[in-house]
Amino acid sequence: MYDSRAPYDKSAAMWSPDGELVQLSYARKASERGAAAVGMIIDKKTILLAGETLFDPLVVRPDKIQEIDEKLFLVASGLSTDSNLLIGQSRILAQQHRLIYGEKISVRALAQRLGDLMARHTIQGGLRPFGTALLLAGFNPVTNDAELFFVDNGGSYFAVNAYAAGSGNERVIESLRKEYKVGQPIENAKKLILQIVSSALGKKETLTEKDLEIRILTVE
Amino acid sequence: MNFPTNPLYDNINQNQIQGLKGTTGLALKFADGVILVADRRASMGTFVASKQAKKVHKLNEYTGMGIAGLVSDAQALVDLMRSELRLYHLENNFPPTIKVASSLLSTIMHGGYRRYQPWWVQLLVVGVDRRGAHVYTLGPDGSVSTEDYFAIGSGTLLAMGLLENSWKENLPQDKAKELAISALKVAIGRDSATGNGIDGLIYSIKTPEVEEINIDL
Repeated sequence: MYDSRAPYDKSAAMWSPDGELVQLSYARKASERGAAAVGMIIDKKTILLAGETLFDPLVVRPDKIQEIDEKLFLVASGLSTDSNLLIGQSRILAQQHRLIYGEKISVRALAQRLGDLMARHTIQGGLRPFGTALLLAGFNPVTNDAELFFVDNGGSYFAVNAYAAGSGNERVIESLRKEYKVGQPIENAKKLILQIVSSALGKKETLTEKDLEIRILTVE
Repeated sequence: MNFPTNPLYDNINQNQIQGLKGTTGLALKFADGVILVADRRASMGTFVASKQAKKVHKLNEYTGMGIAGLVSDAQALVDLMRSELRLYHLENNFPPTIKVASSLLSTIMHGGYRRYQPWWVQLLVVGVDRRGAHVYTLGPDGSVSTEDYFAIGSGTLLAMGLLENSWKENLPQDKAKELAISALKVAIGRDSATGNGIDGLIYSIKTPEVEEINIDL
């Protein structure tokens, strides 16, 4: 099939006449092929993270939700090798921050550093954009309030109350827009996420916590 | 460098270094905050190179830094820290703690020390943050420690003698200010590299305003 975007997808650092970074769009597609990931701030002290782990029964179930530092977690969706690179880099950035400043890195600062790294991969020649999108969850060191950040393949990052990455992300985000409210009981939140992800992925039966790894993060 | 607390003391031929040095600076915690004072003399050997040297610096609204040692190094670190703390605040969307400031300085200074290019200074990093009042002290090797009261510079032992005897926990602000000034006056009286007046800063958790001390002697 002829793609009208050729030849502007020849380099990640090349604009199309419409102002699109075509390789970046392809990279987003790659992350949308990854397992679904959802994050949601339940209330000021509680965050829910969820990641789909429906895989081959021959493969030992991998951990979708990764610890970066104390009370700082990351869910990556997309090409797993790219995810692993970013998870490793996040852990190094977190420890570098502790060594230099003597304090834990904040979610915002980590999102910013990862965003910078990922953005560089859309500017510099010879590199390709990361095929993975990230959700970062933790707590503000000053206010202790729950914080959730989304980092896009191109490196743009923003704070969210609830967001999704990976397969069915658009439908999940659409549902979250309608259904999200602050301060619901944890059990309700879990049920809501299971429902939303199941319908977004077009599952006949609602997923259970066996198929969707769910983790509740609390401040204390 | 002519103060005995410097771990490099034995290795230094004092005549080779003709930078501006000699100081007494001290900091102490009190009930609601922290006081930082220092003298105004900068010396080159026996010559009084300045009678109005500035040795207490505001890094931001709630962090102060007292310097002793090579003046050019210390001034460079003050400028660097002002920028670094502002960048940290902007990147994180919350203010850096006093611990952040002292850890970063320690990283910088230990890096220099291990590359045979030490920052020729002793520092006091003080202030109030969300965790309360703090006094940190740093050596030219990058060592850092947190203290209730501490002195730096050539008059260290003189000032510490009085502080050791008279400092108590939870002193009221006026008594603490009195103690800081009289401890510095001991050094001014008996250390030839210390003198010409007193500058100081008082950071309190009760008020966001910094109180300045300026005494001509």
